[in-house]
Amino acid sequence: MDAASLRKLYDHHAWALDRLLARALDVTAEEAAKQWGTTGSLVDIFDHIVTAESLWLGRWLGRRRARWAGAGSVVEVQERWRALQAETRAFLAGLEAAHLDRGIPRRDPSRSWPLAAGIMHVLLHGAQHRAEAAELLSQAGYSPGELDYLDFLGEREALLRTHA
Amino acid sequence: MDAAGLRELYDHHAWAMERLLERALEVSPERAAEVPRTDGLSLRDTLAHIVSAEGNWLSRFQRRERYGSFRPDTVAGVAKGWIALQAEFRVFLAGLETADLGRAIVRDPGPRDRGTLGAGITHVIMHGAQHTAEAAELLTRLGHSPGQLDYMEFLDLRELDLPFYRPS
Repeated sequence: MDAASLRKLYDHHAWALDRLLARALDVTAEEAAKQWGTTGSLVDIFDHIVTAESLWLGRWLGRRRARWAGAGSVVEVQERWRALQAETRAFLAGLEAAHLDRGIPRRDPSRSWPLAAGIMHVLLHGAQHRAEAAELLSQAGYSPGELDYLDFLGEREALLRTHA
Repeated sequence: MDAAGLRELYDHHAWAMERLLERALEVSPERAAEVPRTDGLSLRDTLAHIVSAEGNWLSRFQRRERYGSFRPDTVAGVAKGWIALQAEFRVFLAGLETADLGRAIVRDPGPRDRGTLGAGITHVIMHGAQHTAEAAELLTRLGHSPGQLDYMEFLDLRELDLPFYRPS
């Protein structure tokens, strides 16, 4: 997996999460905090995506794990996500092919996975939980619409044409 | 992304699908056909949708006739279709070289069908990730959680080289 592809996949992830969060702002605070069986609330899902990504980024940057009490609202998650997204983008922008094989520690510190695998894990983890968030938004009557990879590419292509 | 990277992501997708189908076979046919989701798809139909979409994309990549509508009556029928399709998809991916990924895929009139072969395969994988998550959620609701399906989980288990994590 090369750095440019990982950046593009992150662009898709960020585009989809931005859309979901924007739709989630239309949901009342009570609905967003409502518990849905095994999934948790909409706020819980978003908070989980952002917290996991933040932990992984910290691991890649060699930072200490910070305590996080959990977000109380969609607005709070969105603010945290904006800051995290900027930081992750800066990290990804600086990546070169040689960095992707760097070992990142696993639970067993004597073993490691390449950085590229860790980034891919974050992207697929995001896709999994975005699907849950999209379903909860749809149940609340606020479908986010299509969030597929090709929809993202199509939209980006159209945007580039407009600004060409 | 290069061809090896896509093959690895497909391995993860296939592993997750197999786990889901294995658990879904434990659910009664009536419950697997219930529709609790807003998109109108049951557990059986969510899994069938993944197979159907993947089959249609593979046909497009190979410039063949459409895979067509895939709506089996049972999860066992979905599993059967998946086993056949997975084998075909793996053969296709095995023959790919990185240079092939830049090839333009045949475009349908819709804007969703644009792009290169590499983008199309990536789309199939991400589409699979979305709907396998939905199927996992449905299975959990039905009392048959498939457990962790994360990429790291897959890599960890593959490293152990247990027979059921080897690509078929």
